[in-house]
Amino acid sequence: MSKKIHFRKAELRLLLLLSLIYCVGIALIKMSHGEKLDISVMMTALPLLIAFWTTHTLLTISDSKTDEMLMPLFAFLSIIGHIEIYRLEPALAFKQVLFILGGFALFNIWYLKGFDYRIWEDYKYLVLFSGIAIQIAVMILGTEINGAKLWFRIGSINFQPVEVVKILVVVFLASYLKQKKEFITSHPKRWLDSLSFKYLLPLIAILGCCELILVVQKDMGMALLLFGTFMCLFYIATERIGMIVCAFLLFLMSSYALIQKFPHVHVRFAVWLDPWQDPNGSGYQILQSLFALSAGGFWGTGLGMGSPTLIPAVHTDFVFAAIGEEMGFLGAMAVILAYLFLVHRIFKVSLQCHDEFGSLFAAGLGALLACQVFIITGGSIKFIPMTGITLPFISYGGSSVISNFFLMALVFQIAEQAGKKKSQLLQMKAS
Amino acid sequence: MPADNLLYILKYVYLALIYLFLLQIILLIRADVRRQRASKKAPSRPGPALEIIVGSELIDGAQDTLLHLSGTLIAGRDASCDIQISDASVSGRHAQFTVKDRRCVVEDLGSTNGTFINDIRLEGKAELAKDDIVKIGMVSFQYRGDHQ
Repeated sequence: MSKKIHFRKAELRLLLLLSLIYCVGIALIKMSHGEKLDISVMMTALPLLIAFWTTHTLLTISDSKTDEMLMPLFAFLSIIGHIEIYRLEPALAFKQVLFILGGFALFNIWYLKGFDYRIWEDYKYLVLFSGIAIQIAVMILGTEINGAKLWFRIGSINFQPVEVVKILVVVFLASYLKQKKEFITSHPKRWLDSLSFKYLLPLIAILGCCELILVVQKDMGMALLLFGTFMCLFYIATERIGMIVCAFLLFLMSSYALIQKFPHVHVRFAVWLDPWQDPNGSGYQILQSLFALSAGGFWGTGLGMGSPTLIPAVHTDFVFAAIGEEMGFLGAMAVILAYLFLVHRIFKVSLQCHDEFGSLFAAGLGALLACQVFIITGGSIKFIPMTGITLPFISYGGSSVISNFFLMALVFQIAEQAGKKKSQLLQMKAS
Repeated sequence: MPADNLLYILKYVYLALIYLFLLQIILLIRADVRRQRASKKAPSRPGPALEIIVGSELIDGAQDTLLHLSGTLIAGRDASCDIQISDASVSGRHAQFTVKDRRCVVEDLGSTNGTFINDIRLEGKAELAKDDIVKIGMVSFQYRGDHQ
């Protein structure tokens, strides 16, 4: 059999365009800082350019059968992230570059040499318990930042274990649902029947976990994220809309009870309803975000020409508002579209995958990403109450960036399996 | 100031480039969706067919797991057979499939180890019904009839 290199032409074209976008973005910021345009633009852009061209080369050499749009899409999001951080907090930009480089390195190593994703399935309870153990450990040993105990501090690095736990949860849910979906869907389809306790038990269990995180860890973002992902995955696996409706109503009711009972949740909620109650205190952040978005208008003020730094925590939680101000409605829309396409491609991988676990796993990862983007962008524009989670690939933060690259490596592993199967069929057809 | 003008222009160039990137993605997705639709359309002529459910690796030149039937096809170990099965328990000329008016009749050609339809040994000939399982040696086929 002759070995012919399959060039990933679409990916190549997209990456060329991406390199250009990146350089223009960096140049824009340098100019708005009043610096001269010279070779330093290239020097700033170089590390990440090397990273994604290396990734492209490795994917070509390893004769990868994966989707060619996935890599450019998340590379696009991470360069938008770097440009934005470079604009907002130049001091942190270099660290962000290091995180993205680390992410690409992990991505390549895991995709090329990491163990097969199908092994996860056999260790689902181990995965679940390690997830719970990490959560408990952070509750006891974690460092408190901004009133929430969500970080581990190792030396000078703050590590947010939630970012790892979210992937572990998807692993568990995918393998659990693969095993149990026959049981859950075996009962009659009348949706009133789905009220029976034994079918709802897993739903209630996960709901309980989410509420526990909300109350004990004060991490509303994570609770919402887990709940949303679970609902999506549960629907994909069982196609029972009645149960989803039940769970959603339960969630609303229990959330209402919690809002009444716990002051830190109540504050968030009150700010969402009316930020003007306390414009200089708890409402300040969201109001600044809304001002920034309105200042941006349709075309934006231009990179480096707005004042998004007025928003507290702009480079982590409110990076979307900064994009909306300086790149306008169009720029914010572009970012949302990129996420949309990325999630679309991940679901495509899920549909192409032949083994059930891989299919559910990919769908879960896609749902996770989609929910996270919805929760944080929705929070920034005051569509839903603001919760402090990161915008995947864009927000500043090592654990977030690296775990999202890890997520993509898992998607690529699944896509590789699906692609292999497909090309085998094509070969049979050709012979 | 010229520098400001340049900034102003670059701002739009930057947005334009980003949308060019997204447009490329949209075009790729469109091509992908079309390809998929085309490949879905291809097998939509539901003529009678046999799906190989066990032992597709034993069948020479199987284009797919689906064998479309037309006219008269002979299955057996001989190289001259239309459906050639490389399995020692299959006779040289084992069984014959005849398609007429969208119905498929299978006839055992006096094979040593027999042709089985739904695990019952076939005597002489029989017409296949939808989803019948035909077993020849180690290979199993499932009959996909008209879906109308």
